[in-house]
Amino acid sequence: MNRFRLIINSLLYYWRAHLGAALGTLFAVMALTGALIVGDCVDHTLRAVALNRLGTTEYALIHPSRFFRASLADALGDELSTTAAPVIHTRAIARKGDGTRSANSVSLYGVDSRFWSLGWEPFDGFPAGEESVIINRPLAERLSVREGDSIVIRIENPSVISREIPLTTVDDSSLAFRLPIAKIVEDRQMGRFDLNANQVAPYNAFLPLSFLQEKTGKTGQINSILLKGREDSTLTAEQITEAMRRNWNLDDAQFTLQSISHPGWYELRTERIFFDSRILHGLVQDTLQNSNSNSHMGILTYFVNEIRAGDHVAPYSMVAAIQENSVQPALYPETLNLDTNGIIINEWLAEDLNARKGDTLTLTYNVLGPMRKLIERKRTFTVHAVIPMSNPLCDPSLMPDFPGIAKTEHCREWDPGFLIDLEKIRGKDEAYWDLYKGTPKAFVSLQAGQAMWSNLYGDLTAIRFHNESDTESQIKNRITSVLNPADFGLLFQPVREIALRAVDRALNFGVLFISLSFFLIVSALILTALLYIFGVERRARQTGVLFAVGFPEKRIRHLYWSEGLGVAIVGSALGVIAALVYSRFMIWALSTVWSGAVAGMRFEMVFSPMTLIGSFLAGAVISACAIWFAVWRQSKPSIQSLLATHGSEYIPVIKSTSRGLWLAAVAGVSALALFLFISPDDATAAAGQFFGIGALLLIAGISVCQTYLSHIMKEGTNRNLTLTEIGKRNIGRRRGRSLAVIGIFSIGVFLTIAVGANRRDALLGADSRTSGTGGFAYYGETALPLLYDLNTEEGCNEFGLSRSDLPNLTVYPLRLREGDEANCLNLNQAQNPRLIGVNADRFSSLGAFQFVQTADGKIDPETAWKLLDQRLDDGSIPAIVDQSTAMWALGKSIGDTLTYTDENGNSFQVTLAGLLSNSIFQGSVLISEEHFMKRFPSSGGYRILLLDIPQADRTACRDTLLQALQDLGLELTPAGERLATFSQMENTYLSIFQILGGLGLILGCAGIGVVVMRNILERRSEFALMRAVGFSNAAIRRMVVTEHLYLLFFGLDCGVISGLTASLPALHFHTATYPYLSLSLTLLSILISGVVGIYLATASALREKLIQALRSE
Amino acid sequence: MNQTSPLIRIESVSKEYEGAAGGPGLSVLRDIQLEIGAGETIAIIGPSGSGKSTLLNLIGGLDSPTSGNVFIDNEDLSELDESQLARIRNEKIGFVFQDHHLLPQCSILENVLLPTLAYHASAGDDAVQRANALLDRVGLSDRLNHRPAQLSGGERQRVAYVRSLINQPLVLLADEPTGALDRENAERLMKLLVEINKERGLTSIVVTHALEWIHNMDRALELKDGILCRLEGRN
Repeated sequence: MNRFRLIINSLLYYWRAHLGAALGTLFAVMALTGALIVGDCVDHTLRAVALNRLGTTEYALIHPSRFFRASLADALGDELSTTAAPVIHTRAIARKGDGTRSANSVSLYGVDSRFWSLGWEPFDGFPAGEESVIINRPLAERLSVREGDSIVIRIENPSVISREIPLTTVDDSSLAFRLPIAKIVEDRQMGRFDLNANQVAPYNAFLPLSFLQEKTGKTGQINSILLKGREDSTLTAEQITEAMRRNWNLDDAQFTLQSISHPGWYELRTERIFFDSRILHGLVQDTLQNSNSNSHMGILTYFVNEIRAGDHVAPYSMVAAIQENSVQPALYPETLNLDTNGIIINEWLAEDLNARKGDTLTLTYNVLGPMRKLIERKRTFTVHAVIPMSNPLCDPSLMPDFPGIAKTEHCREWDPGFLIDLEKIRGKDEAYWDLYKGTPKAFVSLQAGQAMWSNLYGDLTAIRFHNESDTESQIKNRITSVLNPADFGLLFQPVREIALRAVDRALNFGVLFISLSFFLIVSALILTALLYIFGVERRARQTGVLFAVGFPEKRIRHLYWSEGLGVAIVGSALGVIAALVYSRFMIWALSTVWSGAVAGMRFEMVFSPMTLIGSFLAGAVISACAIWFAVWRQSKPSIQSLLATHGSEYIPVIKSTSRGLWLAAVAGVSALALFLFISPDDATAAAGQFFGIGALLLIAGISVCQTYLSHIMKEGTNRNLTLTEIGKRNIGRRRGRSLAVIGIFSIGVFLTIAVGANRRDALLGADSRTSGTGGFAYYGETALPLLYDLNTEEGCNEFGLSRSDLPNLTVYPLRLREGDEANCLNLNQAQNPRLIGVNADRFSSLGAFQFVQTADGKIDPETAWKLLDQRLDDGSIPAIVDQSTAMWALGKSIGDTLTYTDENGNSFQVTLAGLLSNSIFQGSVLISEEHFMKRFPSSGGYRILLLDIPQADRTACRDTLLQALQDLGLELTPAGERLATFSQMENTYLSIFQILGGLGLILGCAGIGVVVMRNILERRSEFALMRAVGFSNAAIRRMVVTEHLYLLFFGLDCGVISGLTASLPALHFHTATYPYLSLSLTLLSILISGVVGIYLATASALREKLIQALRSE
Repeated sequence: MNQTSPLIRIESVSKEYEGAAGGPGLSVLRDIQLEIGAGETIAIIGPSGSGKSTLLNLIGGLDSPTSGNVFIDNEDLSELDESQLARIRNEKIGFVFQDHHLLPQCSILENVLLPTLAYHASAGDDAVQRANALLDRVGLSDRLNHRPAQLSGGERQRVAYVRSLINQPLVLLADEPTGALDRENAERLMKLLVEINKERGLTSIVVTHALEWIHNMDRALELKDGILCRLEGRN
């Protein structure tokens, strides 16, 4: 005989009593394990998606606006001994051949066989001989096409110069091809290729690289390289950087170096026309000074509308801003002493304008505005010198290769991409062009030129320098060794590492579902503890014997707890088994009725053995703790009363009622203190604080109930004795049980109200400016950028429309830098959230959207939007994000920063300055358009459109726009609907919470039923006596039901008061959408189920013939 | 054990129970004075509610007096904490109750060995030998592995008696041990109780209504209205 044997004997003998407790544990562990298995499934699926979308790609260089040599990929592959796949990536729109179906957000890749070799499974690629397209399965399903069908693909024609610069032409901004579908490529064959972390499969189309190069005029060029990881994982970023530096050349930087007509002089210019003068400084510092000369100059040549001297006007001329910084030799000595107001003109112009030294000239020129707009400016200069046409300054090569101008034979052939009046061109202008081409007619200082013509794309059009000591080839090498490929955005990203990080840091669904199952788990644990302690109480006399024969109290508790541990272990083991079925149900639900919670993602049923083992152990420990707590909480009765107890009825003596009051007072004072510290400007913190206050009030309420129960027990109720009064007194007899019932109900009601209050109806109040839609009618996104202002007649004309076709429409265009969707629809953690450039002034003047928190505490939209225009001391860029995005997707708050890389490879910081309340901007980071364009000047155009249209005109406007902008791939979503999509996920979570909470409530009701039955069974003799003295069964039943209804109402009162307190912020901010009806119905159903549970349990327990109980006494 | 002083000494012990809601208290024992020597056997009789069981519980450390002191083997029980009292009960006192209070989940032998587990993880060989010998002495050697439910009322009470002896206590406290037995079983139990107690020199206090056994005790005392006095008319 030993203690272990005693425990085992007890476990086996009292198995029926323990079965209930084991079932409680089973439910708790089932909910816990099921949640963790769901977490495993989500994690596994996200990881599989992450690997499928990259294949074996480990590093990637993708630059949407910069093209470089395809042979760079060959060189890198050779040097790094891995596969380097050259790719052209661009956006596209795909339509089914018959035009009936389309997909607007298609990623188009020009690839060769190296791309397919990156897949997990082999794929043959394009069939030889025929021009065709390969598409992935999601795109095939979207277009409802199969192999052999033809589709039309319209792509954004890559341009080295931003299409938004009016100096470029837009006629070729998109290209369309009708091609047969050669194959449909599967996910594991690179069909799902995507660099953005998102579980939703992209629409991908693939064209042969050579075909795409030819069609886009980018022969031998690419804008992306994908590097395969080595099997031994030895490929490092440092190796790639070194290999890039060794293998890249000036062509990859889109620079050309050429000698000019003056011996020993060279010129560096770019296909992109403009470049940053900082490059000049770098070259001067590091390279050119190493030669025997530091003669160099920056040049900014610009097209001016006219040069006027009094009544004399020379139209459309080139003017060069140039200033030599020369020691020896000087190429343009005239420029050395040119001040910022001086201008040198050539002889031809002097004659044309009848101007001479000292005269005043006025230049009229256009500066670049957004949406291909040109803003006309003027500046006056004094003629510093007149130079002969033989002067070296009169050099036609000073003109950059302006598209539509540089290569024309005649002025009348000019097509610069903006409106010019060819009528103004005179015969002598044509003659000048014939003779001198783009030779500048006038020259100003570089400082003056840059003050006039610097733009987002640069402040130089060429650099000229002198170097006689090196060959051209040596100079090229020196330049490429000084320049850093990363400065041109040619930077490889560790995409696999980023993808896995996005999965690793993704929302933990296991923890989420544990949170959602919280009430179910708590209910099950309370039930476990209740049922177990009932079993212990039934063995009161046994406890007495153990005391009597000298067992110390601690040892007795230990014996009972050890037995409870056995119950917990068995219950946990059964719970884990049940969880396998339960989690299947959850996965099924997530794929169907709850698909809104996971953005429609499908999961495989996968779990790790460690999850089962871990949750078994955790469940056993938690359950054992609940049992330990229940055993520990048992008030120790006197030994003789234990021994005298027939059955288990003993009533503990209540010595003090003050403890509950003290606890209530402490909780109440804490709630008051928390209330006083609520920050009215920080809605997020306030919501948390109010939840805390609600929870404290709940504790206070339960403590007051405890005190009241003690008071009833000790003092009675001091009222006339009635059956109802007897019932009320009875609830004090078993204080612990009564409190358990009150606790279950009050926690259930509290959580139902506090959580349910956050359910949102996005469509309610959606037209209000301060709603999450900003009052906008539609949210639109285009696949190809919009370059024109649809608010103007000219802009509409570009799409064959007139303003009258779009009555009362105001378009608010926004710029977009692609990135990860950092919203609830993306289950990964966004590593590089997409950036939106907004015009803060326009939103400010509208007072659009609602702020919940800002850096300066002012949440009025009119002032809050202006935060975006601030210049921060640390050089970072202020940003506004949706509160949900900041809190859940980014894990950031006001003042936190995000790091981005601009298009030139420079990293910059974005500081969160404001949080929006539940808006259509969930998933993105908003910065000012100005900051945006400084960082991404080549982004060219707008891809997000917010449409403000009166209700009556909405349908007509929408249809007109969709038709007119179909080549841009415009998709319009009612703004309220977009908001509802985000809210749908939250609401689905709330539904899951409520359903799981409902299960918890069922368990709670079962627990209450058990309590009721237990109370009745223990008091059978009492009821028998009442029957014997003439009470009817109905009267007794009424008494029992009444006493338990008191508990129910106490629980409801505590829960409702604390729950409403916790949801005060929701009441305040979402008054229009507060779910009064659904919450009321939920509470009513809780009440009804409680009442029914009590009645049924009472009726069932009192069905036995009570008089027999009296006899057995 | 101190040979010169009594094994049990009760000094001015009173016991009152609190009245409900501040009402007058109920005095059960009043100024009890009693000394019991080692090996002495005492019977206590009295009407129901006279405080017999209360007195026994005070002696056994199951309850504490409102005033006065109880000494067992020169230890003042009021000076001891719960764990020390538990150890006294385990090592120096054996209890037999009107009801047997056997654990239904344990065999007869295991029930007897139960007290040995209070301070040891398992029963030692000597305890098992003692249990076997005692069960043999009360005629239950062939029922060692039976469960209490398989025994008659008399047999169960004999097991309960053996359980009280397993730790070789100095004092046996029996509270109406035959109260739930028929005459035949009651006689058999009392006979065993008297014989074995005498054999072992066990100090015994037996609360009983069975006056016929009083003559087998060294002393018989009567509790009336909370006052303990020598039983009149005893031979």
